[in-house]
Amino acid sequence: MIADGTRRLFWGWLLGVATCALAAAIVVALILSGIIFNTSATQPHSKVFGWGMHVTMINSVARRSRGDVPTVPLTRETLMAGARQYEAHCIVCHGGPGVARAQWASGMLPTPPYLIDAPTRWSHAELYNLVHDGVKMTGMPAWGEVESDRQVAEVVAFLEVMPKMTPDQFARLRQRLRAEQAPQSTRGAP
Amino acid sequence: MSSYHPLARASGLAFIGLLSACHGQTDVARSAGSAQLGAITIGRQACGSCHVIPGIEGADGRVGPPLAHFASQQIIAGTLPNSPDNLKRFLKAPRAVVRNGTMPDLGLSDDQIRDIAAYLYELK
Repeated sequence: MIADGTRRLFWGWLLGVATCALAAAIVVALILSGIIFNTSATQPHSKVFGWGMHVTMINSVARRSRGDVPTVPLTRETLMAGARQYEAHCIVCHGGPGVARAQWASGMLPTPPYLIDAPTRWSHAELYNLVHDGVKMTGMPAWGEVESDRQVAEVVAFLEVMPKMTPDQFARLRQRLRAEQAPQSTRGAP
Repeated sequence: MSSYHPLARASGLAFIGLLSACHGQTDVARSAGSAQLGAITIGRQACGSCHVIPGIEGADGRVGPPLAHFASQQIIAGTLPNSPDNLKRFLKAPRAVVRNGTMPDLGLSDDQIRDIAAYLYELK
C-alpha cells in the first residue's frame, strides 16, 4: 500500500516536472524566436521589467563597490583633466548643468540620465566602478578598457564637483576647454 | 526635427493602440496632446533624472522641482504663472525664461511639448 502510494506520488511529481519543463521550453522558444520579446529601442520596457533591470543594476554596482578605489586629490589640474574627459566622452549622452544631451540620446533605451545628482545617488566607489566597468545592455562603455585608473578617478572627481557649478560657470569652463583644444595657429592669429 | 521623433511617435501610437484596443492607430486626434505619448517622451528625455514625476518609472531626480501635483502648482519655473501657454513657452526655451537656469533646452518639437503638457496637467 505504502509503496503503491509512493510510486503514484513519484509519477505525479515527474509529470509535474515534465509539464513545467515543457512550458519553460515553449516560453524560451518564443523569446529566442523574437516573438514575445521586442528588442527594438522604440519599445519601452514594461514597468516591472524596467524596474527589475534597474534594481539589479543598482545592487550589482553596490556589491562590487565595497572596497577602496583610486582617488585623486581635488586640485585645479585634476579637475580640469576630469572636465576635459567629461567634455570629450560624457556630455553627449549625459548633458550637464544647463546643457542638454545630444538629441539622439533620447533614442537610446534605457536612455542615459543627466548626472547632476549622481553624487547623491552613488558613493565615490560606485561612481568609479560605473565609469571604469560600464553597464551591460545600457550603452555605457567600460572606460577602464581604454583609460588609465587615474583618468577614471579624474572624471569621477569632476562629476562630484559638477553639481556645485552654476550653468554659467559650466559654460565658461567649456569655453576654456574649447579654447585649449583650438590649434595654436588659429589662437595666435591676429 | 530629429530622426528619432517619427519612430517615437509610431511606437507611442502603437502603445496607445495596445492600451485602447478599440482605437486604430490612425484615429488618434492630435490637437490637444496625448498624455500617454507625453509619458513616453518624458521617459525618453530622461526628465526623471532631475525631477520626481509620479507615474514615470525611475523618475526620482532631486535636481529640479518635483512635478507631483503639477496641475495645482501656482508658479512654474519659479517665475511664470502656471498656464498651458507658459509651460509650453518654458519647455520650448527654458533658458530664455530662466536665464541662468539648469534646465537645458531639450530641442523638443511642438507635438512633444503638447504631449508632455497633457501628461503634466493630469497630475492634479
